Amino acid sequence: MKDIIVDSNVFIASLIKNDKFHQNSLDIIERMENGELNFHISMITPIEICCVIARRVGIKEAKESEEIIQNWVKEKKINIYELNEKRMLEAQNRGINFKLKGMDAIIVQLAFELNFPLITFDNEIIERTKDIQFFESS
Amino acid sequence: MTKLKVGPKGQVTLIKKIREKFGIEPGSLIEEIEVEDGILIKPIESSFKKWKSLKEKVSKKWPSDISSVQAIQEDRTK
Repeated sequence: MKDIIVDSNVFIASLIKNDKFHQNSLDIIERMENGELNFHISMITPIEICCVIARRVGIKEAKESEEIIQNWVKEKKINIYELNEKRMLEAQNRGINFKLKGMDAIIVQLAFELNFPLITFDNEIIERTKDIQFFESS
Repeated sequence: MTKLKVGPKGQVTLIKKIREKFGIEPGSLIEEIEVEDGILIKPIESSFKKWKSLKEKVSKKWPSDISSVQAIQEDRTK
């Protein structure tokens, strides 16, 4: 089983059929379901997923996404990391050094802390962040 | 109605037609529920199957001019 840090855009891409990253992201989620990949996410990720779906699709669908993610957490296929003071301070430093957006810095901090490859489709994070490994799915 | 024979350890084999209809494959999870006059056997839908079913609903309503990356970026910028 391989451990990876997963950014919110991976979950969202897997829900949009005509998204550029749709098939790639759905394959990654299927690999998590099958026990091949172990997901590690920041606590901001489920919040972002729900809010993005609620704002652009609907409340019912957002609640459904929340429930499914919670099931994966219960099944220990997804591990959630809370934001504490230590992580906040480290995220601030990463944000300053790489000139990242605040939420991006939280994801990047987790990748540094856990030292697992990060999967994100956001080129800004990929281009700005140095010294971390990015997950190549294919 | 099909009659099923119970094996020595309480096993029953669901007929092929029913397995196919409800997508029950080797390794699939099912739950047994006691009801007033018997036992109800119900397939448990995997989280991934539920996610794919959610995908159909989300894709129908998702605005065509915004990608997954843009949606998250926008939320992180605002």
